[in-house]
This record gives sequence, structure tokens and C-alpha cells, in this order.
Amino acid sequence: MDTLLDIRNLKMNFGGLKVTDDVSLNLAKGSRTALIGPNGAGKTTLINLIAGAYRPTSGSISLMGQDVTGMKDTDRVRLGLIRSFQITRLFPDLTVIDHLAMAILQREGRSAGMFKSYHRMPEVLDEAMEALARLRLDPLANRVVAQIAYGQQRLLEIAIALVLKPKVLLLDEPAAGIPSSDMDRVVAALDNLPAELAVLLIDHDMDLVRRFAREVIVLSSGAVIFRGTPEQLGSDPRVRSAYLGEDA
Amino acid sequence: MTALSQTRAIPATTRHGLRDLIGACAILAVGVGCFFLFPNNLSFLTIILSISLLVMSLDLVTGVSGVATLGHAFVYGAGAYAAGIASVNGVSDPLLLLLLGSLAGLLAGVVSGALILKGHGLSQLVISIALVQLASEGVNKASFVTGGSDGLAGLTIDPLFGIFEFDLWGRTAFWLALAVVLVVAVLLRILVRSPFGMMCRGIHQDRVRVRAMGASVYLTLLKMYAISGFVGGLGGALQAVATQVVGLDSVSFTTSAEALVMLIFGGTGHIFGALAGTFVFMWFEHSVSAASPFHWLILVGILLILVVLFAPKGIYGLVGRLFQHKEV
Ligand SMILES: Nc1ncnc2c1ncn2[C@@H]1O[C@H](COP(=O)(O)OP(=O)(O)O)[C@@H](O)[C@H]1O
Ligand SMILES: [Mg+2]
Repeated sequence: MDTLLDIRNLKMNFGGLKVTDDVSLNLAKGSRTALIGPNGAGKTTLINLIAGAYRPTSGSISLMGQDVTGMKDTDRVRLGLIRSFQITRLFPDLTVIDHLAMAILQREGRSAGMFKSYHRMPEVLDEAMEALARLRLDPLANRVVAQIAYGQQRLLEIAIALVLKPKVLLLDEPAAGIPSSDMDRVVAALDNLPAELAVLLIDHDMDLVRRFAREVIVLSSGAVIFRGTPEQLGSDPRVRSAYLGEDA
Repeated sequence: MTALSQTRAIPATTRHGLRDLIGACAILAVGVGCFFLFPNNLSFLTIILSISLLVMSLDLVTGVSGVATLGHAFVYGAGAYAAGIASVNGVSDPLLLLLLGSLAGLLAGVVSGALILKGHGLSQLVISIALVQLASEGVNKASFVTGGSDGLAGLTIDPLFGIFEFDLWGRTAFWLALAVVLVVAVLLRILVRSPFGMMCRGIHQDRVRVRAMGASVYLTLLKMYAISGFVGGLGGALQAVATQVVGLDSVSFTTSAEALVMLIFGGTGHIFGALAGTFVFMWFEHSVSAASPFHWLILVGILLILVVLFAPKGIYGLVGRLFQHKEV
């Protein structure tokens, strides 16, 4: 088994609230898994735990056979565990291409260079422009992020995650906030992900989930209540009740 | 749309190079102009240049990287006293003294960085103030090496390159200071644009994003603190060499706070702003305090409030805005 990410019995509380309640899951090479569930179910928290932003109260996380439960978030990134943010996290005063260049340089261990600006590194510029072009963001390359639309910022968030060359990719609602006219760009980006990459996708857009995922996990009040194929999803009574009254 | 096509028509490298060139020429022109217009104020101008190194050094950690500090004179004082003490103990080559001061500054930068970066927000300010106060008190108590509250005076400095004497009018010191500031300003501009500088700017704006790219915030900022310390220490050593005096004010809270005021005054994050802020602020303070010895603090205060209200991005932002209007 080519398991890349293996999570066992993960638990986490905020105060008295069980936000992650004994969650186990694993992602094999090439897996396309969707994580869905009502708002407040604990999806983002789970990503924060996997990425190392939070420490679990118990349970373990292993990445490519290595136990990373106590490992720093930045070291996990270097191993190829990349996440995107539900609420966009970008540098408002930097340009779109600055973001990509920074990610590329960091990935290659060249971010400590103190003299040559990336503007003089054709290979970095080319790769950054290519990555932007894939999401049709290239016309905005030299724009400051604070000046571009929120939907475009969401696309940039995806572009950054991809350029970091993940082995395991955690996408937290990448399509939220992207206007429907631009959804094709997200769909295309997801379709074109490298085959061997393992992806965990959180999204509320069921069309996107059905198109993308081969496995669906439903989280409710921190616990996994369903695990199966997208086809089995609609007929599951627990899923229906978890979503009752929710505008999923 | 016009802005977009403009930026694409001119490659970023050319634009940056042009701006650096203009900046360097401006520094040189103002420097040379001052030399001929104010031949009797050369030592004051040299002090301005020395302090501008402190303010540029502060810009690296505060303006560029977003770390709040009210104790940055710690690195300046380290440089000044290192040069002063070395000089008292027989080192008299000016360039060697500058190097020693810079290295002491670097060390002080690493120490203060290591401590300050452990805190967050207000606690960083408190740590930075505590640090400079402790250093100041330490220097005061260690009078056997530092001269205590009298400081170190009458340092003997060899001629620069064995040729140019540090004369009574301060010409040599002035040219040395101008050259140092010019070189440092251009190098720091390059640094700020480099991958490392860009990372620091990123940390300033969103450190969570930086971590998600896999970069260590702490180590990056500590490195920036070391560089900043080097530059600040160089400034302190320059003042020691130029004035042949080292005093407690070089490592004071007041100097730290004034440096921050000058930085905000000039505009943060662009190096040239730090330079302009120091020059205009100290010149204004100097002239106003001479013209109106009783009311100058009030006038300085009013000026500051006006700047913060009407030019929140400082002098650099103001000049940038003027040029943009002309282009359109
Ligand atoms: N930092 C935090 N402190 C306290 N409670 C939190 C924190 N983050 C999330 N929560 C709570 O944890 C629960 C799960 O949140 P989250 O993981 O963001 O859900 P989801 O992403 O599924 O919408 C919610 O009830 C939320 O209010
Ligand atoms: Mg969420």
C-alpha cells in the first residue's frame, strides 16, 4: 500500500467542545478524497491538525511512513504536505507574481539569497508565469494583491499551493468565493493535478465533489459519520440528517 | 489597466535599478551640496549620516519585517562603544574600528533579536525597552572601560587610508560617512528586493502564509536582526570615529524612540525613506531649536502630527505620489 498520509484516532478539544473526535483516515498515492460536512463540523480544524498548526490531544499523524505528530508545521511542508486556506492568506502589498516566486524559491531552498532579485532569475519567472497561466492569472502578474478581486485571490491561493509541488495536498474550500464564471478554472486545475498526488478536498459544492472525488468522508460534530463513494453518499440516512437544515 | 500595461512594458528590474540610481544620485547631490553650502556644519551633518544608519537599520526590522522595537539604539551603542573601547586600547585605524563596531552591532542584533522575537506585539516593545535600558545602565556602571556617564572622549584616529587626516572641520569624516551611507543604502535596497528581503516583507504581512510555504519565521527574522545590528553598529562606530567621542546617549531609550519617529517621518520599508526622515527631522530639529530655543519641541511635535495626518506614508510616500501624478 502506498499510503502517504495516515491519521489515527485524532482528538482535539477547544475548551469543552470536541472539535475533532477520534478521526482516522488515510490517503494513498493518487487518492482524491473529499471531506464534507456542515459548517462547524471541524473540517478546517482537521486540516490545521494535519498541517501542524494545532497539536492534537491524542492520536497520531504519519506522513510517508514517518511519524510527524510532533513535527513543526514548516518541516511538514518541506516533506511535501501542503495546505491552502479557507480564508485567503496572502501578502496584500506584494504582487501576484511575488507570491509565486517566493513559493518557488522557498521550495528550492533558495529563499535566503540576499543579492539577486528573482526578477533576474529567468527560470523562476518562467515557472511562476506558467503556474499563473494555468489559472489564467497571468494578466494580473504585476498587480498588488490588495488590488485584485477576492475570487482572483482565491485562485492565487490555489496557485501557490500547487507551485510548492505537494505530495499530499489539503485544500480548504478552494472554490468558496470564486464566482461561478471562473469555476471552470478551479475544475481544470483540479483535473490537471499530478496523478500520484494525494488530495484531501474540502468543499460545499457537491457538483465539484462528485466530479473530483473517488472517496467521500463526512464529518459531523468532529466525528466521521460516513465514508464511501460519492454515489453511496445521497442514500445514507446519517448524512441526510446531519445536513438537515443546513444549506450544503 | 494603464498601470498594468505600464508595469509590463518596463521590466521590473529596470524600474528598480532606475529608482536606486535616482536615490543614490539624490544622496550624493544632497551630500555634495551640503558640503559646499554648510561647511561649518560638517560635524553635525556627519552625525546625521551616522544616525541615518541607525534609522535604516531600524527600517530593516520594523519597516520591512514588522517587528516593533523601541530599543534599537542597543545596536548603535554597541557599535559606538566597541569602536570607542577598541580605540582607547590602541586600535586607531578608522576602517578597522568601523568593522569592529559593525561586528559588535551584529552581536547585539542577534542578542536583541533572539530575545525580542520570543515575544509578540506589546511584549516585544517591553523587551526592547528593557534591553536598551539594561545596556545603558550596564555601560554606565562599567565606567572602568566605558567612562561611565562621562563617556569616552578624545579618541585618536589614524588618517583614513593613511592619507586623509580627521581634521578639525570634519571634512574627512563627512566624506567617509557619506560614502558609507551611500554604499549601505544601495546594498540595503538590493537586500530588501532579494528573495530574503521579500520573505521578510512577507513575514510582516502574513506570517501564517510564510509558514505554510515552509519557511521559518524565527530564523529569517533573526538573520534580519543580525544584518540590522551590523548596519546599526556601523552607524555607532561611524559616529565614534567621526566625533572621537562616545557617550551614553548612543545607547539610550531616547535615541531609540527618536529613531522610530524619524523612520515613520521618512516612510517605512523603503530604506530611502529612513534616510530622508533622518535628514529632514534632524535638520528641522537643529534649525528650529537654534531659532526658537523655548518652543522648538512644540514645533517638532506639530510637524510630526501634520506628517502622520497628511502624509501617513512619510516623506518617501509623499515624493512617490508627486512623481506618479507627473507621469499621468
Ligand atoms: N481557534 C478556535 N478556538 C475555539 N473554537 C474554535 C476555533 N477554531 C474553530 N473552533 C470551533 O470548532 C468548531 C469547528 O470549526 P471548524 O474546524 O472551522 O469547522 P468547519 O471548517 O468544518 O466549518 C466550530 O464550532 C468552531 O466554532
Ligand atoms: Mg472550515
